[in-house]
Amino acid sequence: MSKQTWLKNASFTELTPRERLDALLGGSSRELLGPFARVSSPWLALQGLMAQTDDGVIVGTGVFAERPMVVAAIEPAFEGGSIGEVGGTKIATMLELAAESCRDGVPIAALLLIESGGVRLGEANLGLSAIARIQRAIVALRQLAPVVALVAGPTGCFGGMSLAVELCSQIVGTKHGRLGMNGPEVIEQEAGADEIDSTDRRQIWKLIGCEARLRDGFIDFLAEDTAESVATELQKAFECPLRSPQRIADAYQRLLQLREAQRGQDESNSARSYAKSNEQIDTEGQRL
Amino acid sequence: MTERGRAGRWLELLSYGPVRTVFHTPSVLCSEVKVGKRTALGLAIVPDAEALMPRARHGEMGLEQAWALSAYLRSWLDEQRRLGLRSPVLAIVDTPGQAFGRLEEQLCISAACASAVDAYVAAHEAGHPLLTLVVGRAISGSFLAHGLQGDRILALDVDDVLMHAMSEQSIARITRRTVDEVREASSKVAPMSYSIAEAYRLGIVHKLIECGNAEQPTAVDVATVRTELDSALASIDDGYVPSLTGNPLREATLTVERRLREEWKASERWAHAG
Repeated sequence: MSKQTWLKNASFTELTPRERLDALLGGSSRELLGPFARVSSPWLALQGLMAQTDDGVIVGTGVFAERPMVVAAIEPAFEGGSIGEVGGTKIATMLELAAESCRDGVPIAALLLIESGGVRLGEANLGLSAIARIQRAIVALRQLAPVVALVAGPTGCFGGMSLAVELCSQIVGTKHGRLGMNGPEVIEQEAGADEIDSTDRRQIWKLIGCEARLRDGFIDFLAEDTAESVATELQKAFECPLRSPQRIADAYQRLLQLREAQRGQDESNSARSYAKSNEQIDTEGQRL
Repeated sequence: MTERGRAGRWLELLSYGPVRTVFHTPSVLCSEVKVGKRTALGLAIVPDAEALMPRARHGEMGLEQAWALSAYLRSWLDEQRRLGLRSPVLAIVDTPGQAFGRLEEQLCISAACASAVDAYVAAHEAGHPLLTLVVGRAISGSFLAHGLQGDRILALDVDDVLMHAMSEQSIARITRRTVDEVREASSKVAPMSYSIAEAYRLGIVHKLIECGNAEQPTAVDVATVRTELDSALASIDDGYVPSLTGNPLREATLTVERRLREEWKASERWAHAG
């Protein structure tokens, strides 16, 4: 079996970020500022932590569905896919370069493969600052060319990076992906174990998994766990017309919906339907 | 201090008109603030003991706050466009963080906060100068959604004014360290520090403002803040963009930018040749 055939048929979510890019972009992908450039975090060593020479973020260029694009993929095996100064600046700069190219008359889209815990806590404020810059760059590029995020899982997308993903033109997920602001462990820490059981994986996927997010309109496409299906859904995402993403644009409607759901009921609609979904999940299998 | 919290108090002190709630949301306040010769839209997220969502009653950025903030900014931007105006926006910041809760996650607080970020960036792109004044806690997702998109971030130089991504306890748990280890790291590693002075050294905060007591400011404190807001706005209007060049703490950022641009140029040549 050739490498490409193997990549196409394998479980996509079991692939490393570079394999994922390979499977989607084939020979067209070119990494920029790769591990041999040896640009790593200056902050981790100060804390006795091992740095990585690509800072866990792979960026480059490639062609997908006949469109030239900048690509970024995050390595969740390094520091939980967290965003520090170096990795965050890599992603932001690529998006800025793509926007500059669009303004120069050469349209370049963006594909972001996100598996991220959010801000790297060991670089806290610089991580936040880098994510703010990524967010600004996504909004700027989104008006010129499609910016598509893939949350394949199983790490998923949390913290400031979940905001960044929600800012993208289109979001594709798989049922192994999840998207939330605060990870279950953080909620348990800050709000108590009664609020959420961070060890109950099925409950968590039911709550913030990509299937639930698709149902509620917070992501746009759901793919099967193969490179072929992911590529098909991504292609649909790139073909969508350019416009502000409705999932975040209708803020006033969302506010009214929230009040309607919460007001006048001690046991809110959403809380009750949540309890119901708790009963259901025990009968359903979950891979992870 | 008033029940409106520190951010609400500063908004009151700086504004010349009445402070109003936004879309019947007592935890999201707005008013008109004179900055230089212009009228800015002042915005603050404040505590409300009776807020709709129980986990957003102490000044947190919750679902209701983020959607209301975003909705209001959007409608204000529409009106400004109709009137042909590009008034400045002033975000006043003191929030303990985003709301942590199961319901918040279920209803996708990520999208709510992203919507607020989107509105601030839209304001910036439409030519509205964005000013941020940190008077208390500037934390994580709530700061991303309200303040961190500012063209100029000013902060009171007071001990309890701070910036961070997460509480010490949560960092300890998530990174499998003890709280003491986290404290030690925060004291040694500039971006991990909670101190606003370190955020200034890193170039994230653009101006530190001397202030006696952020909780109970004197008339002199308020006047100083006004002067600093005026000059920050003037420098934005002059088209001055703060640069990190020469900041030794930001060498990594500058290296990534420079080398990526070099490789990008080289690969463009390669692509055209091919």
